[in-house]
Amino acid sequence: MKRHGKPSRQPHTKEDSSRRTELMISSILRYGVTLSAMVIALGMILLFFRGNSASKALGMSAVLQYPHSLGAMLRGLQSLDPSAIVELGLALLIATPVLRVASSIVAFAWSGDRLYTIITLLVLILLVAGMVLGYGAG
Amino acid sequence: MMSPLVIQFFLLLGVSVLAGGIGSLMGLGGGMIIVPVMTLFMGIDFRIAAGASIIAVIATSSGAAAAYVRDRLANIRVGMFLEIFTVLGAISGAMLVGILNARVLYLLFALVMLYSLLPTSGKILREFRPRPSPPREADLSAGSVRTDKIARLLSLDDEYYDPTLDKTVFYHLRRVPLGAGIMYMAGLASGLLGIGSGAFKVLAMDSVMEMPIKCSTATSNFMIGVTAAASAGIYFSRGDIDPFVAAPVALGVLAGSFIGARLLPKIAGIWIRIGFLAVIALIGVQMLLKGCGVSL
Repeated sequence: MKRHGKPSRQPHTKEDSSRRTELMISSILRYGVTLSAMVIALGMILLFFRGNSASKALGMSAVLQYPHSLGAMLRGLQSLDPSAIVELGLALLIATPVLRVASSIVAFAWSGDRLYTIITLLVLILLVAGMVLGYGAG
Repeated sequence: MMSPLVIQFFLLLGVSVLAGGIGSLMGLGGGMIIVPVMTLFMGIDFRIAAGASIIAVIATSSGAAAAYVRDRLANIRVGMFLEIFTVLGAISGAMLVGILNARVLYLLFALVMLYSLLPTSGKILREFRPRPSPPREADLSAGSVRTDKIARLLSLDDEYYDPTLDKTVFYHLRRVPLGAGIMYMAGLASGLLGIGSGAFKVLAMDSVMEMPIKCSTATSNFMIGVTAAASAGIYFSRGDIDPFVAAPVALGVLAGSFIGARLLPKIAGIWIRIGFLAVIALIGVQMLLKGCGVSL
């Protein structure tokens, strides 16, 4: 009897492989968080040692400004603005579960589960729609 | 270098580590603790606080979610199907937070907070009066006739292996529409208040849809990250995520829950849990008062 029970059934290869896929997808979450955390930490360290563009112009005691949109963040990244780097890390963090959902779509499609391919696709569409909505509301 | 912003940064970091530790110890989301601290004691705008908190929720839940899938406890189909409703709720909530009066937000937060304390107090009470809850009747009979039509249609029924019972338990879901409705509310709370709404999700799955508690908890943890990402995406594109607040909070809560999960269970005793519960109840009351316009 196996410890921490995985039920011992007849090995069903398709199910086993879709389970392996699922496990792989789940590790996306963990790696995504680790990467994001590192980028955020990097940005914060740079911020303390270099200050960002606003603080240089206005002095550290002034309210530090930060990029307020995706476009501004990308521009900030070009000049290696630390607060833009921090924002990139935050954006990566937000993207991680979204990426996970997208991977599930592929996994369901690959295992021939049409219903859940559609359901998961719907979730992804909603996620993206929300972000677009927010952009307009800013 | 000691500008007020640097002080605020380290303060946020320290508080977040504590919140992450307490949260993982008590089974509460860190968001429940960190948002009141930021808004009540540090004077941070509610939207900024909620935005920072929701980032932290993504970080902590994503880190843990992999384990639940690995243990075959989380039901991914159920999770994905219900995500439709939580994400819709999260979008509604995140859009509403720009419109609603701050006092209403405090009131709602207090209500959700005090409601979420119930399962935690239940856990503490059970330690005083140990009474193992028997598995539900429906769980033990494989092929029970009480299958909900929608659950069958969507292949939501499943099985899992429970090591404590030493058998494979089949389960069937019921009242799926009601469960979906509660999931919408859970998403609403998440987008509006910057919390994970794990308590609501478990309520929907465990009490309403009759999924075994271990699977409900695991699936809830699996879902929280996606719901939070929905809210966070909106906050982000609206510019409500202040990196100087969100970064220390996210890193702090992540570190705190990591430490909490590893070290504290060995040290903490039942009285410490009661103490934390009292502190959080106190904070809940303060949020309530602030919602009613009283500032202490």
